[in-house]
Amino acid sequence: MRRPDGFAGALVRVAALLVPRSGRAEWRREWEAELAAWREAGRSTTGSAMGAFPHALWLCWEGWTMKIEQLGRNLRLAARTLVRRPLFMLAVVATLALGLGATVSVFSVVHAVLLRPLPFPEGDRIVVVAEPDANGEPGPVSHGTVVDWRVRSGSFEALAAVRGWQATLTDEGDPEQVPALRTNAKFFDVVGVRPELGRAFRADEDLEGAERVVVLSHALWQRRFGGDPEIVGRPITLTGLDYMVVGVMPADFEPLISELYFQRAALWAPLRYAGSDDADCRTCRHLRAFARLRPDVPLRTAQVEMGEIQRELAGMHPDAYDDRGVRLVPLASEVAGPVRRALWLLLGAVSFVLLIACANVASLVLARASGQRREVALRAALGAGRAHLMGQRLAECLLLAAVGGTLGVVLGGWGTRILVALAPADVPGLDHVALDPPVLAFAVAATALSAVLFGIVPVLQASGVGPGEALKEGGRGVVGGRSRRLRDALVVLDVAVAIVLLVGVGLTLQSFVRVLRVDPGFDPEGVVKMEVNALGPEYEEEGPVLGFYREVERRIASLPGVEAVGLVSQVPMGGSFDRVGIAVEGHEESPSGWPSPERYVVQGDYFRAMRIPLLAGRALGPRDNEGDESPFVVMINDTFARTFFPGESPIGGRLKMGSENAPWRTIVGVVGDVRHYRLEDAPNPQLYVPEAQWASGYMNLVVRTRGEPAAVIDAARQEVWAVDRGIPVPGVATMDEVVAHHTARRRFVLSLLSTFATVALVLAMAGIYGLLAYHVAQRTHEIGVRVALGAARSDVFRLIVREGMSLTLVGVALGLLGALGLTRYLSSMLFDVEPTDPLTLLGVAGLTAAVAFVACSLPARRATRLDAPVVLSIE
Amino acid sequence: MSPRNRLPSPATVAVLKALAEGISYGFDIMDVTELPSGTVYPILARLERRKLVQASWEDPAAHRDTGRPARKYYRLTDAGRSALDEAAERYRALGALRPERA
Repeated sequence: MRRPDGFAGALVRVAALLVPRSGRAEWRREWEAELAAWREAGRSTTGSAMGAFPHALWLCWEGWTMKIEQLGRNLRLAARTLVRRPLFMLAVVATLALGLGATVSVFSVVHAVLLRPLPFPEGDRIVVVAEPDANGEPGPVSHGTVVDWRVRSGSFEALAAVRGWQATLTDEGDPEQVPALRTNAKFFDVVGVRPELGRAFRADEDLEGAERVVVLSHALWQRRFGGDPEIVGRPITLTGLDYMVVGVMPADFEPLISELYFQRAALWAPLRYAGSDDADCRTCRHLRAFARLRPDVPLRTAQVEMGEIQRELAGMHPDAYDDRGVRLVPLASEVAGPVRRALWLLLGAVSFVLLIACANVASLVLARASGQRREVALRAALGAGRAHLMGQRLAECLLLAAVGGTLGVVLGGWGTRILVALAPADVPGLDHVALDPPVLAFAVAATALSAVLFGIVPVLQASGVGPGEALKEGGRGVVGGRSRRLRDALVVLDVAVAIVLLVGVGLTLQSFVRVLRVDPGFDPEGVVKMEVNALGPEYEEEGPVLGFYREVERRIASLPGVEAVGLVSQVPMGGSFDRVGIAVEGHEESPSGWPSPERYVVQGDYFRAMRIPLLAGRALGPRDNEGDESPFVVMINDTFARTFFPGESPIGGRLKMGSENAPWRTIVGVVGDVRHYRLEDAPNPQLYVPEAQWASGYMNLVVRTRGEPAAVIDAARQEVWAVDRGIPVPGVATMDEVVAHHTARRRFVLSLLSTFATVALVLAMAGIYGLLAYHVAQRTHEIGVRVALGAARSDVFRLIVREGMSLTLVGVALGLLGALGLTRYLSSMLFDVEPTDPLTLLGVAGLTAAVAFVACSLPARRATRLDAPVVLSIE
Repeated sequence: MSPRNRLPSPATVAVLKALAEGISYGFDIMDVTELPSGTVYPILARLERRKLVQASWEDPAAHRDTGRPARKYYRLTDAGRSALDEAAERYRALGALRPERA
């Protein structure tokens, strides 16, 4: 055959690409003949060839229309077929909905917390600039350092330092402690958001001695000042001082930066350090630094530049810096930091549940397919094309997936609400969890993926079996070897995946129990704490502060139901801490400078109120509170004693806190260790100093009660107000609540993991049960023959159970192997238990085997009840 | 809308008419109807889908000597013939309409 050459031929060949594949060759032959005719007639072939495009387009359109019509027919047929098998449909849809629902709800949280962009313009340019702490986490920095960074670096558009502030608002109504942020004028450039009313701070307002100004949050402005449009320029009273309101932030401004290290700020005021004594201190690390990268500077470049600057600073001030350097962390990852691992872990776990669900649905579809093999083979023998039959099978899967997916989204919506309710409150972004378009898109994708996963198996299985073979095999209703092996494999997969999840739960549960068993060093039960901050102009001198606290303590101690009262600068596990550099008499200064133990200011019966045991010497008491009269004293904890006084008595030893010029303090007593940060962390060296010798206006009242702790809360608050009506009393909680808050994340992960593992186990057992029940039904005849030939009922029972249990054991073995490979991703969630803990692995294997035995014995029992003569007569 | 109720386009009628006259090759149909290939071929495809025409490849023996590629010929089916008659009737009726005002 001659090929039409030239331009016209090329046009036809291009147009041919539009024509459905099935008719393409023929179409080209037709057009080649056509062009030949035009050439023969001596006319332009190009003009004619242009006509090939409308022709091809029409055929293309027609092809798609036919496909869609065919799909519609198949879907209608599938719907009719499925409705006739309600049990099958119910099982498939319920399984899918369960798997998808769980996946969608976890993803909606992952999306809101981890994937949501920061709510700031070009928020990906905002970074945390930090000196890493001992654990390598971003730590606090000093003002002097921030000033040098700002002067020397060229990578940032703006660099701001912030610190938390508790402002007491006394205008109009009850005194209220308002979480606030003290920062520089640059703060608003870093976040990229300006006040909607008024203005931000000016740089000159950050100077010590400048007029005090404040920017309010939209919510505070609305709640406390009734949304007064004239608020800008009005003075308000904060902690007894006048502050001029200069601006109000927009309603949608999220105080993420303050939330990250402190609390959600409701107002912002300048640091006012510039020009003050504190300005140049390099070791006063109490600020957090944030910066906005220049648009053309990548994070890596900024990191390199800052590293060099930090080395220069360390060279100039070797006593102020160690070799930890500086770290830049994108704000987004820092915000989601603590929960990131847990959430990915949960998403991984829930994907396993979805995988089991898909395996089960595949198994169900497969079982049904083998039941229909005769019918299918018959139809194939009667001339139905393989593609046609396959199309129908796929339409069924599509329909099942669509119904299951829709129900899954509904379930996911509920699940999401439950998740948010269960989640620890300090997970950022939880209020943005919703079934929004990205989550729905994910749901559709997950559904489609599931449909492929469970739809592909029967299709694979169906191909490669000739109709003759199937008809022959089908004659006796014997399960085809290939289909059976596939279903066996799916059950093995079910069990293996369930094992992996159960091992995860076992390890997490053991960790949780062990964390709860950790002795925190104090007894939280029956103790209530509240913040009482003596702040304001009348408390600028030490005398009134001490007098105030002494009076409050005296009054509350005499309340009925109170066993002991004390005050402490930071309660254990309350989230805040204080460290101080010390020198111990007779100890060489270590090369890294002074060691920095935790330092707490206490007053009254703190140790008795918290039941922190006194190990040696005496507790601090009234005689240490005589002000200038009493000698300087300090108490230490057990770890401190063992670190600095190994094998000797520390009582009478001396140490200095803070600076070279500080007075020597005598150690008068040793108390037990307190886990101040987390139950999981070993205690650090700790120091306790009396309030009279280190006056602090930030104290927590700690009250041990005889009865219900809640009962004394109101009375205690009234006593504080009886001493000074202008002092707010926020942060009221029982110490049990404070400790529980610390284990909330662990509890959250554990409860979700256990839910998923339970669902996985139930699904896996349903899978085993379904498979065996099906096999028993298929082998009725064979069992009948066996019984007729004299097999005992116990033999039949064993036969069936052995089949199920051998699959289970293969699954258990594979699952344990998988768990060994996967649990290392769990290790950061574990406490005091190895990822390969043999007890957990064996326990999970045993539990699964036991449950599987029950699942196997049900169909096996049914098999033993088969009546041989009846079975055979039916045949 | 079923094809029976829709008045076929003049081009379709022209193609049907050409086929009824016994002209069975695309090139020849274009020649007599003076329609371009981009009109005639989609019409033929549509008519074929509606089973109004039937296509067949010419016998290889018929063109072996000429050396040209095999051609696809179209002929009207019975349904096609009645569709043409009906369309012709309706066009005539259309022509008989006497509007009140021109």
